Amino acid sequence: MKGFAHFLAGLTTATFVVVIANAYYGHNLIADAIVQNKALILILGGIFGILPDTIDFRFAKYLQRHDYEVDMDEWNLDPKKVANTLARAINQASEENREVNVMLHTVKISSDQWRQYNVHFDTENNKVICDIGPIISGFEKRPYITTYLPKEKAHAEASFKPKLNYGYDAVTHVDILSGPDFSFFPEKDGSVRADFIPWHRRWGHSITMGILLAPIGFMLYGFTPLGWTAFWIIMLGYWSHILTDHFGLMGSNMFPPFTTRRVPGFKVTRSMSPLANIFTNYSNILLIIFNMNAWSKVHYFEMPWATMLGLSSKVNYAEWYVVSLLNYIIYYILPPILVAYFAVAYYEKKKGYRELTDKEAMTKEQLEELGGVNV
Amino acid sequence: MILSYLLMCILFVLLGTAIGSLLSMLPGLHVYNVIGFFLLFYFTMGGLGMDPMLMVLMLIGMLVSYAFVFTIPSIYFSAPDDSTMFVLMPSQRYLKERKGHEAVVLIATGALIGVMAITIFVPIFMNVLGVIWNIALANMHWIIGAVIAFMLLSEFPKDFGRHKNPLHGLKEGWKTILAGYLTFFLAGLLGVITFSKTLIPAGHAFQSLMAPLIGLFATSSIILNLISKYEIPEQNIPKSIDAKPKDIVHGSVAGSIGGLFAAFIPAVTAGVGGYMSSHAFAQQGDKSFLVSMGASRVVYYVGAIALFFLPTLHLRRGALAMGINLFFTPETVQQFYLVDAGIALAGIISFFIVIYASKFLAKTIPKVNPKTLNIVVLGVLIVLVYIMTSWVGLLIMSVATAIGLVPVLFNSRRSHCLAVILVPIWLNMSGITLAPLLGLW
Repeated sequence: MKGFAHFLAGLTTATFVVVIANAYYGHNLIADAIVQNKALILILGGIFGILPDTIDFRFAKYLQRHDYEVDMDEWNLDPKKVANTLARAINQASEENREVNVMLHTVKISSDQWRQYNVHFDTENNKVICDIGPIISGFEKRPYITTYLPKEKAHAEASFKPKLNYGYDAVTHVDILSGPDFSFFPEKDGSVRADFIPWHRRWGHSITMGILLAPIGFMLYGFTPLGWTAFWIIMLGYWSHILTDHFGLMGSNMFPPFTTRRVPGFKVTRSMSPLANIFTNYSNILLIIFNMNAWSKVHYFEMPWATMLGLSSKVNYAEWYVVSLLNYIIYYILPPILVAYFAVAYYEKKKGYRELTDKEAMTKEQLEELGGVNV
Repeated sequence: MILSYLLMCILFVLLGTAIGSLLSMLPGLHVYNVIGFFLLFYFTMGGLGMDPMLMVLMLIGMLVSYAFVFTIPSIYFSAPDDSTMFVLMPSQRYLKERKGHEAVVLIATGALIGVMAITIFVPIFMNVLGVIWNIALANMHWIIGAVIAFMLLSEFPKDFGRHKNPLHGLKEGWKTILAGYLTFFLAGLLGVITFSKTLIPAGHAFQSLMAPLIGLFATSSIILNLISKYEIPEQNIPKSIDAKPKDIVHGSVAGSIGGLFAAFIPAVTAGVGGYMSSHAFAQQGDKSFLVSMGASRVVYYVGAIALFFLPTLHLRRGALAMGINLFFTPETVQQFYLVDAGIALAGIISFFIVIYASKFLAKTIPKVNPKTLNIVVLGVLIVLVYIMTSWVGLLIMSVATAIGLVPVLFNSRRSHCLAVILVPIWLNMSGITLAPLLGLW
């Protein structure tokens, strides 16, 4: 998901924690601290909701070491160098039984122009293929059609020996901002596994990290009701990021140092899908509004099901809250999402849009995150 | 009687639109600065014996046209304000690719759809907006705080991955981030000083934000143009723009919602609203972004007025709503619909004004030496600031310009400059007072 969706998911989680803490401590203690004493505790949810990406893109990225770096410039374009380096790294990972990392740098021409090149892992024929593409402009990556090189200068292939497990789209475009890196790991069966942007969604995207960061709540507010509330907001806010990401394809490494690999995602949605982001954000905003109303002393709206069942926030808060929330979701959150979903699905079907394969979507997801689009 | 009154209303909307359009062509001049003088004149002359509603409609015409037409100096003269600053990068890219007019059309299209969204959806969701406002009111401090936190946390390193070792990488990557945070801190401090103490002559107190905003956004851009190689090639004027309906719909929905958010939440301006909604709607590509910024800007400025007249809300947001409230209190649904119609009329006319003005400038601007153009625009800004805020304003503008150059030179986000508005209002709403600590009280 995009950074904003994570931030909002963290905030939403924080509002749920506040509702529960408020009911647990009674006397509207936590809500009063927020509304009357202007406590900023809820923001922690947003901050820790976006933090896993912040950790990865601001720290983990720089801790990654590379055995090889391919750094071309416009006057020295060499597709053979790219293909050979990648093939050598794959062979080396197998022969030396160790992880080998390769960084492919982008070819920057001006503040807004890059030379694109593509890397294709042909796992059937054990080949790495590199094609130098056109000069492109801006984030829209508009190609200048006169800038293609002749095929003999633009194309190169190199062979590698071991079987390559490559779970992403066969073609990777290297173009704007920072280039991608690959890790090649030797597997027990003699094959080599390729990880794309290996520093992402590792320890920074883990349940363990959420637990380690949660005590910051006590550092901010002491062992008070607010401190405990902050503890839960931080931990659950952080986990909300991991959970939201997990609905996509790539997944995360959940319990480092006990686990070392990413657990694949639920494959329910694509993290870069505008619709998935819009639905998540819409739901989150509506849930935040619901929770603010729920902890407010005056309820500015009441849901009819709770009224019909004779439930009152003053007498049986938990029942009133749950029934009202359910009613709210069914009335206001689900219908617009369903209508929009089917309308878009109908439109795309009519236009003949092809859905990306899992591999294509996974590569796109990674590259977009690398380009900073998701942060 | 009713017909003649309606005709008078239309006349005053048209008058406001014409005045607003002309003044908005001047780089750096914000419509709120001019409206301040109009109100001063109106009060001094005892209301000119005219129906206050006509004055309201004229001011609305000015505001709507400003929201549309200010795109022109932002793009062709590189003198943006706090919201058009976000379109500066993509639009300059368009200018370099001979598509400046296309950028203007995309922004204007977004703006027109934004006007339609206000005139149609604000009345429909009248009651819902009232309920949301009541709920959000007590929570504004953390909502604005969350906006600030997101702005700070969403700044990411813009290095190109070439580093000798991890430490070198961290240094390179964090250069842009720290420059962004420095900008935020300095702009926030400037905002606290500006909001806490009126440094410019008391008679011009309502212009106190003019110098910081021009310095942060306009003069810093112009100075950058002056010191860099900046050329405007011959521009193409295509008969139609190359944008998919999907881009237009995506951009205008995102922008309208961002603008409404900004119109609703104090301290959040059109740029921040549009920027957040571009994240929320997972926007990709310049076209959709330009459309969204056009919509966001119009919905922010004009939506604030619609919310002021909205019978369930009467929300005073923005300098125009506050100014109008000095002589007029909205009371009836009829007044709301009259204002709504005025907004629609001014919006349609402003759209065509922008298109024709852009066509004219697209033909003319490439003939002018860009350096000369930038020097002239800088001169206009200096004169304006001096007239409106005296030499103290020029001093503030110089400080703001220096702050505005930090993100430009270090390639961090210029949106951090918006701390000048966000920080003081957020501190105020959170009950945090810094002014005594800074010796301002």
